[in-house]
Amino acid sequence: MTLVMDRPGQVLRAKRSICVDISDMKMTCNREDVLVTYSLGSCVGLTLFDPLAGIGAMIHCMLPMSKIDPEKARLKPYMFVDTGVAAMLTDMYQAGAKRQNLIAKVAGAGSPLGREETFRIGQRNYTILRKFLWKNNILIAKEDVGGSKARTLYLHMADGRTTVKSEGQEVEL
Amino acid sequence: MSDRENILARIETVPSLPSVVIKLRQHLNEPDVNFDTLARMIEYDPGLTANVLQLSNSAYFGWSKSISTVKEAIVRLGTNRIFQMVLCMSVAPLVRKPIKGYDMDSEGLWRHSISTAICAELVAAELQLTCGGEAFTAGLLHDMGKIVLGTFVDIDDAPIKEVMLSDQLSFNEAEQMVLGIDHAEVAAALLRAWNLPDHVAEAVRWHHQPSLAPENQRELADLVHVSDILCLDFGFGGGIDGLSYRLDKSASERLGLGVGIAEKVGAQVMIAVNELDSMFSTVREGEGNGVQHSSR
Repeated sequence: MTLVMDRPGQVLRAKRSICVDISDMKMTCNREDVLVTYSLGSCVGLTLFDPLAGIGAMIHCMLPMSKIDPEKARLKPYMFVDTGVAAMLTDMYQAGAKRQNLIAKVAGAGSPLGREETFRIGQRNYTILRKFLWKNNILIAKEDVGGSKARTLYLHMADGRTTVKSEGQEVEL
Repeated sequence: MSDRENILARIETVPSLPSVVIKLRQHLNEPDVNFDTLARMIEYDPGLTANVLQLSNSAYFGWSKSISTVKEAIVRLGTNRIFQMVLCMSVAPLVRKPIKGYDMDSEGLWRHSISTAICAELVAAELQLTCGGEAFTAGLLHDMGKIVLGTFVDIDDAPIKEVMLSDQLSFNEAEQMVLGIDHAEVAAALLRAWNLPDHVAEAVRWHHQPSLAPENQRELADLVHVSDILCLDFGFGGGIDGLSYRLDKSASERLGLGVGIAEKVGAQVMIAVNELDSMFSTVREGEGNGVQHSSR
């Protein structure tokens, strides 16, 4: 629990910081919550927020496609973009979120330096995510992707703001 | 004294690797390794003995009958796993703390080190590499230079960022330009001071430029290079340097490592790191992880 003070000595409200680990997803409808995921390298972080239903969720996917290891996908569906985002959407719809209200924001999908990056995991994570959201009629509202910096992604449930912190700077998406 | 000389002199202040690690290493390489001898080396240190037994009995291994002696642990887990356990316990007090300059919290370098060790071992097994026996050790120790260089990077944070931007340099190239040495070279010097074998130190020395490694030691350098980059890619304990390193494409080509195997291994590393991390979180705090370090 993080106590947030607007001026010294006065506690105005309590915020609960919920950490989304690598290959994990968290959903909440509590306006006091802040969802956060650290160390987004080539992984992609996606936040989905329904302002009308007051439901928000964040996922941190490591790899694009589950077909490389279906057994791992069964154990850890959020590890992969295809199985993870599908499960995320199912959970959100079951909780009462509506597709037409969802605001999607994306961060991560970075890559090491060099023009001939062999694995292109970040790029492929982003491509599969974009394609999956497009097939589900969800457009990405804002994104901070690519480059070689590590990112931390936040979703503030109080107002649905998504912020990205990297190299000591935090900016709103 | 130049920054470089100052940094190299600072290596002397790092506690030496416990002698049990070096002794175990030497005996592991003997063809007729004697389990009683190995057990006695560990039992000489009561704290280490307690921790080896605690880890050997952790839920991760799932034994139905608990292990009560070090020799039994060696027989059931194998000499290699026991050595890796002791090595991790020895390194943990040095890396499980915030690393100044690289903006890493107390778990950052630890998670990056164990993930790179696991990744290197898995890639070596998958590709049946001849250097596989040293994969875990080289992977675990590749970034030890950061514990020495961090203070200097912290002071010269602004010029490092400046040359990265102006000259399009990677983080280690910027370290080299500003400080006269990078964390890979510092790590290699530290490993030599710890009396670890030259080929492990060489692989660590060239883990950001594997094509410059001596030909007979290039495979291990290639392995540590790709494992390091993959673990940074997957976000296992990165710092302010993020992904600001160059991937040497020829390293993955020489190893024969394609994207399919890289992703498959990545998924395995994720599970294994969490298991190893939770296993080590049960080791008692405040006892130096049961390993007696000596200052030099």
